[in-house]
Amino acid sequence: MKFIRNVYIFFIITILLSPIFVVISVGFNQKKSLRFPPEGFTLDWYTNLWFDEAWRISIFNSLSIAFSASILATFVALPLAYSIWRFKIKFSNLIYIIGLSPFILPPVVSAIGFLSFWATLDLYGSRLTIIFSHGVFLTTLPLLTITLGLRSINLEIIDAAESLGATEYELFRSIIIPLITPYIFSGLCFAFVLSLNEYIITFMLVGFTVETVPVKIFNSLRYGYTPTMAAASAAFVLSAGIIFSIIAWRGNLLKLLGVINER
Amino acid sequence: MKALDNISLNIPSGSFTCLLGPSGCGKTTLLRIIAGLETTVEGTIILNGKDITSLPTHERGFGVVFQSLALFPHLSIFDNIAYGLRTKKTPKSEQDERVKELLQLVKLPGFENRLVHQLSGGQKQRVAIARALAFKPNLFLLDEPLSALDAKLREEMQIELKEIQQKLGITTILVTHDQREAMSMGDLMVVMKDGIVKQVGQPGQVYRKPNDSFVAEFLGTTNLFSCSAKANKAWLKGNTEPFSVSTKNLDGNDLMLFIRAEDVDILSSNKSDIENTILGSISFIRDLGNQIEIIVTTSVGICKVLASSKKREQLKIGERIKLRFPSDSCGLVSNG
Amino acid sequence: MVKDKKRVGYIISSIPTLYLVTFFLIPLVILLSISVSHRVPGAFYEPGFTMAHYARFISGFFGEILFNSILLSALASAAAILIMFPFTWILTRLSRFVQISILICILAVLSLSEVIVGFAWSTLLSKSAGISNLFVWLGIVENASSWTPSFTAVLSGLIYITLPYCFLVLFPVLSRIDPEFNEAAQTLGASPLKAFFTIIIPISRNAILASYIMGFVFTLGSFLIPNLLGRPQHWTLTVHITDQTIYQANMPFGSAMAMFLLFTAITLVWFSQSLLGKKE
Repeated sequence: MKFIRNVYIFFIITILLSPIFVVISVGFNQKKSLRFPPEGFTLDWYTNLWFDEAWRISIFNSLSIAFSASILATFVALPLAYSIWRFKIKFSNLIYIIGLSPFILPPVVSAIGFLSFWATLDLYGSRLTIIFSHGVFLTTLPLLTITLGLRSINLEIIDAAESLGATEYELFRSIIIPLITPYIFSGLCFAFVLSLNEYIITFMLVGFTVETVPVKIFNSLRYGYTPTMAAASAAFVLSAGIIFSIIAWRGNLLKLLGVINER
Repeated sequence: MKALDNISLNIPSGSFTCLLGPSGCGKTTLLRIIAGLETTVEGTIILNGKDITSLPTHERGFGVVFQSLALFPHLSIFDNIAYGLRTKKTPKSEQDERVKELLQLVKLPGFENRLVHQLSGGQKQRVAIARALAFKPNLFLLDEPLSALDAKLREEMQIELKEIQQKLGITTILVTHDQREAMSMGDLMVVMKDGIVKQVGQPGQVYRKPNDSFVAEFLGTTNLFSCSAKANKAWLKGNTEPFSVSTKNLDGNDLMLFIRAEDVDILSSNKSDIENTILGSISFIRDLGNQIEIIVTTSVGICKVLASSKKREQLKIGERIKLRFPSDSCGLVSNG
Repeated sequence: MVKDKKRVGYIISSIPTLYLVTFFLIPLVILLSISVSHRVPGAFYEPGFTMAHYARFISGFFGEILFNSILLSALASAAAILIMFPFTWILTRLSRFVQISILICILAVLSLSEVIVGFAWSTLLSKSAGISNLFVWLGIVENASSWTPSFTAVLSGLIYITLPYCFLVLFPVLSRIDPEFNEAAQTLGASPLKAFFTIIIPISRNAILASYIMGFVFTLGSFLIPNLLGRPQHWTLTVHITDQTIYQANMPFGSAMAMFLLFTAITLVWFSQSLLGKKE
């Protein structure tokens, strides 16, 4: 019985990880084509990521947009989550739903919405548009993780702090923030990673003006293969893996995802 | 660090056995092993002459009441109790009859269609018992079943559980850390510590004749004093005069003298020339309702005395009194 | 005192709320208005009011696309849960180290851009390099063949994309299930398999439903997988919306379809929330 169980797990993991293997190995292919299994071995395509200007620019675009958008999203989510949890403002439910919606609803809808919005303002194609719109789209993630973090706080700690004379600001600074920092950070990381890989909104808003890596990869698929794009994808996946491993190592990954009873 | 070490036990059929010990002593592990929920590295479990060690849990047919009760939240009370019958493909009419019978037994008639979350703690407890007994198990295993109940309900349930067990004659093993519970319910008591069985016997027997200082201290309110002994005389550390001890013949240097708090006599300090006495001063008096507990500081250590509350007026904190340890109430045990 | 606190709350939350309303709600309103505007060929749109786009949408061709999209999402989400539920359940019973390792794998897969997934799967299903060669080697089939683009290719891709999200929804819920439920069922005579079906699955009802709805909406919104792994007849609604809006420069029609998609998604989520009776 245990044997069947282990085989099952192994099989699913294999299916899950196989695209990653395909992508990584294609990036080593000798010739300038996408062959799997790869013929020959070279690191050229990985180095190309660095030296090819077009790729460098797109990587920079992706990283800068992801960075700005995820910080924006977190700065929007934190006060919202905190107000709802601490002050129980009116319309909490409504605001929470508005905060969750961008991510729950099909991205293409948001994408067109954003498109029409920015077009109306005559800002179509500007880099600002994608930063702001990604910021909206990604708000959900820090909102979820920060809310989870706040809800995991033992309320008696708050009572104790208040009875010891802490003001609202002191409470926030000395108690709340230290306790939820891991959740803020994980929300930020999720938002960052998802922004890096986001395609449809980016394509609709700035697809022809600011090329990010996913857009460039898609265009490569359509118009001209190079294994460089496989190398780019592999690099992204590996960096995400590293980021999450760091979170796991420094923090409690299971707790961050809402797992309470640890074995 | 072994959870259990070298355990050998014989549980008589139809008896009510209590596994007693502090947290972490392995009593729950032992129960789970019997139920088949944990595996042993070494050892066998024999039921009525048959080796069931390798039998999986669902084939053992033991009724278990878990500490968290584990009532299935998505099923009604009827479905919960009937679950063990359904797995054995019992016909519906028989299920109905049996569930009704059990609800009567646990004093919850008519509760068939209620849902788990509608019940109080005590009621859930009874349903858990009914569920475990529905399919007429070979063994009835309970893991600290009463620990979540408040004191009054606990006492009620202790009596009821004992009544049920006697009525059905089912071999029962109950795990508890409460020594009063074990003493009042068990026919047989198994005292455990750190994965080892310290003593097995009838509660009264174990109470009067503990094997070592751990068992002596774990049951009742006990006073223990370091001493050395030879030929029925014990020299307590901190006192020059030897005490005479009439129970158990033990000689040695690293022993403990034990006496139960209720056996210690109080004399006024001017009485003299009586054997087995010691002088002390009262440091604290605790009112326990019909008894008082007096904490006395002496040269051999702190002594706890249980006395009738009628004596309360005669005593005050700081007063010097004389304590007497009657020789037939004293016992000698090794350091355990 | 309490009133003061609430005021602080309003002040703090007003800016983010304003931000969300401005950059999210208003765009949606604009979208709605466009969907009923006139189309101006070659430009974006012209203000006006017409239901023509919605009407066109309900018609035969696009009706079939709608059916296709819903079918794909329904199947993909169901398959994802079928695969992921036992997987997640087994995982919650394993050691902490194993759980974290596999969790990191899942998160890494999550960070795979959809375009990469599409590319990888189109390679895996291709004639020259794909899995069919493995089958030839095993002797199951005679010749290698290309399994993409096709309906099954799109379905497989959609299932794959949904798996990590399914896992992340199910994992916290399943790990909180008291192990004693399983044990109690076994002491009452149920084999581990029977306990799984009669106790664990019913207890997880809510999580399964939430996960299904989430998967459904998620796959409905997928653009790259159907685009890369399917022929135009397999294209889902989302692909058509993008196509109409950008390539056919028919913003009003694209918007109309987008509103419909939005409506469907909202209905599904609202439906599931009322069934579940609690916030997500």
